[in-house]
Amino acid sequence: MMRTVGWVIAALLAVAVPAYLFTPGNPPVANFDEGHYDIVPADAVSGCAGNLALPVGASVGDTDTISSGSDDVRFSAFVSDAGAPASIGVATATDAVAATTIERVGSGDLAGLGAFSCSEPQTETWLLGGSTALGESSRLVLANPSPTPTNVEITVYGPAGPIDPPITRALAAESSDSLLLEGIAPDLGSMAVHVAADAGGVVAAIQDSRLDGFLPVGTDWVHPSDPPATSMVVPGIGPSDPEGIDGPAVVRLFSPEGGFISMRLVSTAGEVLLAGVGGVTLEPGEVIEVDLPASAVGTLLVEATSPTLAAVRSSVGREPDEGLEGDVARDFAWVNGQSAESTRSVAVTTHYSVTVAAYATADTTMRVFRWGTDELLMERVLAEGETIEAPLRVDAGTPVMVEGDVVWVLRVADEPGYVTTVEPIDPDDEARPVTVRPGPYVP
Amino acid sequence: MSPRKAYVRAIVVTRGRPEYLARTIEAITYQGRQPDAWHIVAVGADEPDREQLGIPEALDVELTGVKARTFGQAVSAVLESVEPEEHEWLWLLHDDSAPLPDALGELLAIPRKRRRAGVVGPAQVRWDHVQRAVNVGVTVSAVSGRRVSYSDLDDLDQGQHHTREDSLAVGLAGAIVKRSLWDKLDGTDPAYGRYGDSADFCRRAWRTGADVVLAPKARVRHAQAAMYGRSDPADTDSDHRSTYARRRAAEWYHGFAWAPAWAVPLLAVWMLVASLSRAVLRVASSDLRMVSAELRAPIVLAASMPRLAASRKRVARATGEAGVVERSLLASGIDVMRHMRARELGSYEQWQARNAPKDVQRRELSELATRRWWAFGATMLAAAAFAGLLFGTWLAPLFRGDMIAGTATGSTAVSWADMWQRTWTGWADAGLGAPALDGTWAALMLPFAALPGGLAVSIGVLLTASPLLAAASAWAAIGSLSRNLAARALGALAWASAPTLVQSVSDGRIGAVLVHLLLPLLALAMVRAVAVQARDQLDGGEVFPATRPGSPTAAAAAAFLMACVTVAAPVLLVPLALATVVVTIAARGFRRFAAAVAVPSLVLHGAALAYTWTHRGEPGWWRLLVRESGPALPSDPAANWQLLLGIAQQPPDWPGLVAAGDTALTYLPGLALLAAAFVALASGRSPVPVRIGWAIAGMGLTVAIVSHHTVALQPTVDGVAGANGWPGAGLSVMMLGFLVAVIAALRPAPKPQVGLTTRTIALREARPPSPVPAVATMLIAVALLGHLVASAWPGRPFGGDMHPADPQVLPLVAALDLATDPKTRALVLNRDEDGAIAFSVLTRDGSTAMLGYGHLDSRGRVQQPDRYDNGSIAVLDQRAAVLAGGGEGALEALRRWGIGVVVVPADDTATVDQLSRVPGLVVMAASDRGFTWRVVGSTEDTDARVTRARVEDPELGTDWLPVDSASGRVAVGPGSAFRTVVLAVPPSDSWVARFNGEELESRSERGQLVYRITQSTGLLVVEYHDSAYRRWWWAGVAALAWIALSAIPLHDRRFRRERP
Repeated sequence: MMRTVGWVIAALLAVAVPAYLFTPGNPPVANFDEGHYDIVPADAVSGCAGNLALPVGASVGDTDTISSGSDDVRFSAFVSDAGAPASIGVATATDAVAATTIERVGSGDLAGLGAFSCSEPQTETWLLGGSTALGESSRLVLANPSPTPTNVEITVYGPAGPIDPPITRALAAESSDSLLLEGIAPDLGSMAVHVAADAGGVVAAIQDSRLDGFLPVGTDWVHPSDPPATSMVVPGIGPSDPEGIDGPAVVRLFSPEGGFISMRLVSTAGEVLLAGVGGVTLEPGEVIEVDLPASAVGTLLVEATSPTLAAVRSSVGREPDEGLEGDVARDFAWVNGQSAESTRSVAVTTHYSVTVAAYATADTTMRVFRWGTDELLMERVLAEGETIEAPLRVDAGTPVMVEGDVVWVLRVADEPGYVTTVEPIDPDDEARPVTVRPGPYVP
Repeated sequence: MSPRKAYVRAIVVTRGRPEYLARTIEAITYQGRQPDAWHIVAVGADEPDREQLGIPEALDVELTGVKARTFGQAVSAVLESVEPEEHEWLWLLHDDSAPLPDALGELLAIPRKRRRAGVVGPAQVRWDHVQRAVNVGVTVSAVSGRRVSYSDLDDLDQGQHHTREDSLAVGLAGAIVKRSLWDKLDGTDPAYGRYGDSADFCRRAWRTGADVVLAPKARVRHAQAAMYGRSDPADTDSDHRSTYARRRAAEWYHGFAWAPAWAVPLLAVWMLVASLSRAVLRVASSDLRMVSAELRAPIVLAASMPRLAASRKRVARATGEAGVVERSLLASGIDVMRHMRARELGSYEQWQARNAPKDVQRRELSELATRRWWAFGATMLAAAAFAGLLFGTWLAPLFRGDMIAGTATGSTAVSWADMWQRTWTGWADAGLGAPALDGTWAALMLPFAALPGGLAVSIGVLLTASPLLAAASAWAAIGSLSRNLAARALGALAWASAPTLVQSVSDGRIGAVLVHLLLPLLALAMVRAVAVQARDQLDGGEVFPATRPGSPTAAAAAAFLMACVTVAAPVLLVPLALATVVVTIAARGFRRFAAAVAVPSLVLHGAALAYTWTHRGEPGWWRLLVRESGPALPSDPAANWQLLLGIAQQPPDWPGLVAAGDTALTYLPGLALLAAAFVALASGRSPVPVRIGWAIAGMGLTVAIVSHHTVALQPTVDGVAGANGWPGAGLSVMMLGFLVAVIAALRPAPKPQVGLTTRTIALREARPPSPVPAVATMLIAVALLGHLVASAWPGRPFGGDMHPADPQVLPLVAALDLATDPKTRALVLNRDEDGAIAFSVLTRDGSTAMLGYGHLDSRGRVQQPDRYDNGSIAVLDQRAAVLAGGGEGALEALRRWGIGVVVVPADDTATVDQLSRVPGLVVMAASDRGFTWRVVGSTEDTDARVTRARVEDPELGTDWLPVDSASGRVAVGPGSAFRTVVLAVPPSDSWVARFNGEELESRSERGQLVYRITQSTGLLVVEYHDSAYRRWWWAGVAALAWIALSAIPLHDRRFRRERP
């Protein structure tokens, strides 16, 4: 009897135990949900590039001789809301969300227009522009407007790739610094600069000043670019005039990982044929420049197999104040490529002649508002792929916001042939998702 | 004196023990010299019945019944009715003191040569063994009256006492006393009761000038029936300890009666101290009965104090010229020491002598020992190599000053002072602070923290060497199950390489590691306590040692180990306690030992058990029984069959194997062990231990499954993410059970004992030795070796995230801000790999789980549940998100909770970028360890400090209060009448604030504690004091002290009784 009971129990166990053991078991996740929040970042202090400076000091001569400096310098700063930029050394800082500085140098080596859209410090900045070839100077300005000190690592890329080793700089809180890249990486006709900063980041800019002998051939600020992307739109370029006084517009391309890049040029008059330069192959870290064919003001569309940066330098020629017959002085403007999904939407206008150069990425209505108000300043219906250039007649210092599926830039020009661009910025007032959870801190 | 003239009056006092009396009467009638008169005094009977007392009719004896409390009173009662004769001697006899033939003659021979002899005492010998002495005269110590015998207990009479004559005292049972002396001294002092009256009487006799002489050749069998509580000679199970308290009290009474008056108070103090310390010693020798006897002695003595004045007068009356002689006979300190040594250690030495191996055995045992040491050495070498290959890379950083840390442990560099603070105050200071259920984990870690190098080194070494330690403890434990060296070595290595141990070490689950290391020792102690350990088998079929006394010391060690194990893994408390109950029921003869094992653990977990009991039936009422006190981590889901195979978490891939190979290597050891245990069960060998092993394994698997499926730790703001229980402790128990089953089945059959019938021997010889155990051992060895080699394959990651790290976790400025007044807290924002921000509020340099988690307060109230239940704490994670997102509005909450520092690791530039834009945060420093911001005290006063405790004055502003984690005191100057003290801690009744000694009324304001000060100036004291916690704490300390003392291996009387 007992034996039978024993067998029955054993048989039951033989069935029940495996059945139980093979039941999938899930431990209870401790009842803690991650916290998901949307946080609007506080407005950070923006940094501006400051004044243009002669790369190697002014040589002052009498009226008969050539003078590198100029006594015809007009510097203006326009802000969207708060006070004017304050000096933090060679650069300036402002609490305003959007601000533009513009400087007109009427004579000397730096003759021309240079504008800069003040921006928030970033921990990673790409600057595509500048040259350290003979007669050409690239002055890197680093501004740390934040209350946190930061360490900066600068890597210069040239036609043959990165220049080793990277340069490091420490920046105190609310301070700035400048250095001449020709001292570090000379003889680079085309270059890209990567600035990595810890802590609160920095605002970086390059003052690209060029001479042709004694003739000034342009000065402009190279504005921080969007991060590399496989699709870039460069609006507001040209006019390109390779055979004429203005000279060709030049596109500079850089791809950290290398790859094949194809380009299309769309002017206000329609698509321009890029004979022979429609596609190029880049080695990783290589920076190249390609002259663009003659065209009206337009937009360059860049498609690449890997994330790429593109920027275009467009120049305008003029007769020099001094010089020989046939000499041409020039000024140029750098325009960065923007990704098609760019959220840059705000810029502050300046005096001189301001036009909006835009490219429609889709069929859209482009509306220009006075930023922060409903005041419509301009409205245009655009078809996909259409590029326009339209004068913007508003007071200097007007913060404008552009709505619509467009990539745009403000072109500023003045007599006798000075040009520059004001790049829009992202006002960054949107909430960002942040996920938090308790977690121990173990090194 | 002429013997012819001596008149001997024999007086036998009986307490109604006819069995003894009959023999005594018989012995007297056999005397060559018969007493001249003979009285039998029956105490307590008015009209004694001769027949009932067994007195032969023919005997010419006068039978009297008296009401007397003492022997002396009974004698005096007889003497009152008879006139003294010339040269009358009283022969005083108890009913259990039977004189040997010619005893009276030998006694009477003494006074012939010693004319001053007043008392002549015989050598008292054992009732059942006349060659063994019971009393050949005693003396007392000069101060405390301690009785010191001239002979050792059960001294074999080899004539060594025959030269002894003078004795401070002799036993009056069987002695002759001069009648005149008896009358002069008014008999014995009734204040002594049954014990110590002889010594007092004899000492007084010396005082009056009479000699007290021993007659060694006169022997009296003395059963000491009263002392042993026996009623007849056949009763051998009686115990003299029942009368210990009274005897001890009588000794002290002697001291009090004879001491100079000025010394009596000092003696009283001395007696209390001595009694208490002797009680402690008795605890150490695990003799509970004697503890109470030692503590009862002063009470018994106090009860006799009213009679002390009369006794002292009696002593004072006894005057004569022989005081010097009396003093010279008192025992010196050395005598007392020698006597105590002989008494306390004698029994152990006797046991040792009886159990010493014979010469033939000795050689065999020595060979066994040599083989055992070699096997042990080889096993340890293999385990050390395994440990070195797995965790050896930790050693160099460890001795360089780094710590071994991981997500589960947090920083292991915790000072012993922090540990002490945590266990003593019951306030868990981590995060925003919380009352704690108990401080057992911190107490367990305290010894590690107190070791040289501190907790970081000792925990690091413990983890690194854990396979080696596990092998050693398993080796020791398996030795109690099997003396087979191969089984011991294989078992030890299997235990050392258990996947659950390796996983626990690499995850930093210190509790599970400790359980794995201590569990075999607990089993060993338990086995020895109930005397079922395996013994060496010798060639002759004998076993050594021949006897197995159960061990209260081992039981105490088991209790201590079980306390450690249950503190390390509270989930084991209930199963182990139930197991103890089963052992208690099963272990006949050792139930007392087994039953005591669980007691300290139950006391230590008293608060948790009380909570569980009072909340029984409510949802989650059992959760404190499955909590984890120390380092914990959530673990990945595991199916029950994986747990059965000993795998709680998938180990990292094995080198150079495809998926199928990975699976095979992962589960092979568990599968092999399970299969072996099945075979063991089916084989029918050693059925009882094998089934016990299976029962243990079943219990372990159940524990593992239960812990895996329950929440062991709730998330809190100090960076605890919450966790389910780790099945490791249960898996260790399960593996132990399977090993017990397998190794028990591998035990060789007992060798035939000499003396077995020829048939049995023939049967044994007829059966050929089975090859199964050998083959099974080989297979297990191969599987184990493969597992060991694969586990320790160079370069193979062992999983987990324990790694060497700098013990300085936070940037120096932040750590200083936390450690110095005004004390503040730090919020650390640390970006995870998936981009989420892990936040923790720190009060010390780095998160740590080594202090133990608070869970609940000691009354079981939930103080810090998940964040959604408590508004004030819920605020924090939202604030952390705001900060990490660079938003505004987070700082007010931080200030209120005393979070004055925000730290972000240096490599998280994105978060640093966001924090840089937050107004109100000022960068203090940037270093490799991270960026540190100070939270500005207020928008108006940027110099104001953020602190954990502050005095807020609406007129004078806020001032900080110096506090440590659980208390603070400060002199407060004049201020407005609306001042408040704010403690940035979650409200708890146990926080008390006193201003000039007056308790301030507390209130909860926005989730914090606020007190209002109304007086102008004074001393403000704040303190956390949880009385219930403190009561459990002291109970735990008492329980631990008790078992710690008991676990000291002091040898004792238990060696007298032993079991084969």
